[in-house]
Amino acid sequence: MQDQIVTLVFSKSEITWETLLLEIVKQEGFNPWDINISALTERYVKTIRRLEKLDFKLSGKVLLAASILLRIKADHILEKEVSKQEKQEILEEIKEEELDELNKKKIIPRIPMPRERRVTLNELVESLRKAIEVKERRVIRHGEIAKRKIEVEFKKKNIVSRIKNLYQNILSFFNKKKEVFFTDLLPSKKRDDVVDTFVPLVFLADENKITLEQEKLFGEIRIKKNEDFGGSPDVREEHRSDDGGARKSDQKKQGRDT
Amino acid sequence: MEELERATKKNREEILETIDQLQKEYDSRETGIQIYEDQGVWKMEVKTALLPSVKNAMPKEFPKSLIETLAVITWKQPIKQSLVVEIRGNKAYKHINLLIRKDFVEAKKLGRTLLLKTTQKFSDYFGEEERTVKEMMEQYTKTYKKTKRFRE
Repeated sequence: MQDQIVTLVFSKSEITWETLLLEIVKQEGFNPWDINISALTERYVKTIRRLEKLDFKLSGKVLLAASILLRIKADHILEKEVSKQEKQEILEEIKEEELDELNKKKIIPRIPMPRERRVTLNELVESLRKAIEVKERRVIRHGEIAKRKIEVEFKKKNIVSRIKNLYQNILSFFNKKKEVFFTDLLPSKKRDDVVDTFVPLVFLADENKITLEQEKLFGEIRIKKNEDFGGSPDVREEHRSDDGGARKSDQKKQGRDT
Repeated sequence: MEELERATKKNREEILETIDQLQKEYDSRETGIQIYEDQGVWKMEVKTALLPSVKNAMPKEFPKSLIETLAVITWKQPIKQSLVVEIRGNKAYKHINLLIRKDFVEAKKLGRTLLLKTTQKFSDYFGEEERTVKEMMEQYTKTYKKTKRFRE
């Protein structure tokens, strides 16, 4: 049995507790006490001496096999040979004083101490250079930003004519069909076209020329013609500004909904 | 100290006595190690004078940017917090708080800002009086500016 385990440990490239157990189970009348762990390790030491070099893989395998066997033996004692009552008796035999003694000998985990060193005076002085450099860079950067000219292009569009054109467009649609939708009026689905159509539409709704309905958020907008304003487009003078004035917030609010 | 009491199951007096003996032993042997107390924590470290020899062996205990902020305070002390922030940016608020907590910097209220200067602990830590460190820094910045002009 002993020899078989030793052969197994030394020959197999990988060893696990499963392979070890399998080998043990194969033998009839197995008794873990029959395996001498110290003999196993002695064999290992001899082999290493013969090889005249360190084989970490072999060391690992021997250590693993020895620990597995030791564990099997320990479990065997506890589960098979020592009853619960006996266990209790053994524990009672260990007096409190002895327990204290054992506790004292316990390895105290190292208090976590940072593995870092103190900063030297030279490092402090040298870091001032770095701080100055960073500051100088920041000053230069801020100066560059201040000097930089930013050109913003504003598109000039006449909102009055856009409202007029859109209303004409809506009326022509109403001549053809009963219902008109916002998407019918869009020249394309580009963002600019959507905005350029939506803004005059809001103005027209504000003037009560049309009514806008939207059942679902982000859904289609239904446009209804108000009968009182069936005639030619008449845009009120107060809207003759390009910025839309105080209506901006309303537009934004509704613009989000589209 | 509480950790030492728990670990050794000795009382405070016994521990302090032992630490004292250890300190004397290390001093008498003239080793490179010193044992000292810092804000209630006992430390066993390489002596300040020998730090340059071991500086590549392990990382610094404070991050670079924190040391830079401390350097600025040392250089211009007493210095207003607002000026430190102007030089170092907004991160300096965090650094200053940490440096005050670590007792490297002390702050006095000055109007709506704080007036900052280094402490005795700072001098003990770097092994030089604050005035000497400040002089070193002034000398250093002069040299830096001269060489910078030369480089440009």
